[in-house]
Amino acid sequence: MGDVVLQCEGLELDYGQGAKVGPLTLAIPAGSCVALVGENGAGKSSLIHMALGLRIPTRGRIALNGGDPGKPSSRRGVGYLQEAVDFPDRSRSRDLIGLHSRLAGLQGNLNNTYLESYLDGFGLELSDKPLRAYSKGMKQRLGLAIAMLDCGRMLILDEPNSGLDPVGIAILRAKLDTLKSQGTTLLISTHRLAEVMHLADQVLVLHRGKVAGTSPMAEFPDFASFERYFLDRVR
Amino acid sequence: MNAKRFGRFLALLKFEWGPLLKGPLPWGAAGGLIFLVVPIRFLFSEGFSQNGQTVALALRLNYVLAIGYSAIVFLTTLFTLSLCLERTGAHYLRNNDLLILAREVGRSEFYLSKIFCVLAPAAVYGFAALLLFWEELYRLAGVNLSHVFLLIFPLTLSMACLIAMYFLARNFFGNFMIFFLSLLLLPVIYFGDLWHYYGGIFRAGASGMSVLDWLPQFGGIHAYSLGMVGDVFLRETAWQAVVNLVLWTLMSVSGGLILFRRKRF
Repeated sequence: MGDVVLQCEGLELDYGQGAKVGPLTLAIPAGSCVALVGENGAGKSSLIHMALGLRIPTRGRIALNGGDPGKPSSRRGVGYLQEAVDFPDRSRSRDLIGLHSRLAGLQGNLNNTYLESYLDGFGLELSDKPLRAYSKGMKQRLGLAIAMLDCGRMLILDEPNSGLDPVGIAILRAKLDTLKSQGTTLLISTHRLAEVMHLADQVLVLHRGKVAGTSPMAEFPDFASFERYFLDRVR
Repeated sequence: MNAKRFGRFLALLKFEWGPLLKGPLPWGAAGGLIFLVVPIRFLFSEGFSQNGQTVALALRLNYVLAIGYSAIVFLTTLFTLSLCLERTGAHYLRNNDLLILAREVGRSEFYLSKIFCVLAPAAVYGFAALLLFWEELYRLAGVNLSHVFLLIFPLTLSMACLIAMYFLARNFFGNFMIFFLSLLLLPVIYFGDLWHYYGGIFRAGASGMSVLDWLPQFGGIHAYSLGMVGDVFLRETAWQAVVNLVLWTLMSVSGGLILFRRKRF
């Protein structure tokens, strides 16, 4: 499993009353960029949660960086942005970046000059303004900044475009391009097929909790063929 | 806990305390101390008498100790529960909590930091209330009752048990309202305990407690605490409440850790 960052074998998660995700068997190689697509409720976020040890699978096996995702060491160097990100109202961007830097063992980055420059890269300021004054898009940008603080091994994004304005989307695109060129493994769950088409190497379609299709992105000459592939698998 | 894990634990505490201390809760709690000061001042006023007779200082002091310390326990408990609710509200194990848990953070560090970020301010508040209590006694009646500061130990133990049980129940009951309603049992247990220790004053042979003995003795530790500062309140068996609460705290923290490690979000 040397080159595989995330591997699942017969992975299942029961929600009760018949609702379940899986069985899922898949492998995400190191340095790849995988687009995780599917309808609402297809199991994308559940898969991500299991990958990060936030949910415990009912059955099957999942390995992150070769270890149990429940163990903190397996999550070292893994950045995550969750869907519909939100933060405590009275916190400040400084507090959050400070916390996540410390948790990631990056205390050296906590000087104001570095933080200002880092947040500026996401179109944000290092301010003492409470986060309740932030718009949804600004919170999303902050969430991305937090996720990318320490993502040397892997970056997992759940609906990264949500709430972003065109400038924010351009920033995100540039950051992801840079990370990909640096060899970071990317797993991007999204409903916006066009946004991942230029970036992803592989597409993974989930439908009703199961893998409905997987294909190299290079096989789609244009967006229409990609969209058709997706729709064929979820109908 | 190694240095790295302890560093992460401190980072979590620092983050949790920041917004907490900036919010309205500490101000409300400070304002609540008026419920401690007013009864003390009333009891020490010239107008306080029984059957037309001015009550002697020694007897008044018993009233002041019982009412003053009860006010401190009530206010600290209220503050503690408010902190618990604030820390485990609708955002609990959502949003930022999930981002934290997705980092290189152990479940135990996270769970214990949540508990400590409530316990430490609660203990500080309890100590501030005791300080005010001592100051009022000294200023109004010239009584230097310095051993009231010892009450911080049973008070902190009581709060630690309450917080540990709160977090255990919060993680056990998925439904927030069911969990919240379960808290209503606490006052029943509390007054049951107090009746056990002091009921005999009003009714000969207060009832024995076969069931309540095994429940967390919050009222029992109240009786133990009062016994530390006033002989009239001393009850020989009240030490059992300390042992009881230590055991309940350890069981609740251990149970909470086991549950939280296995919890599915």
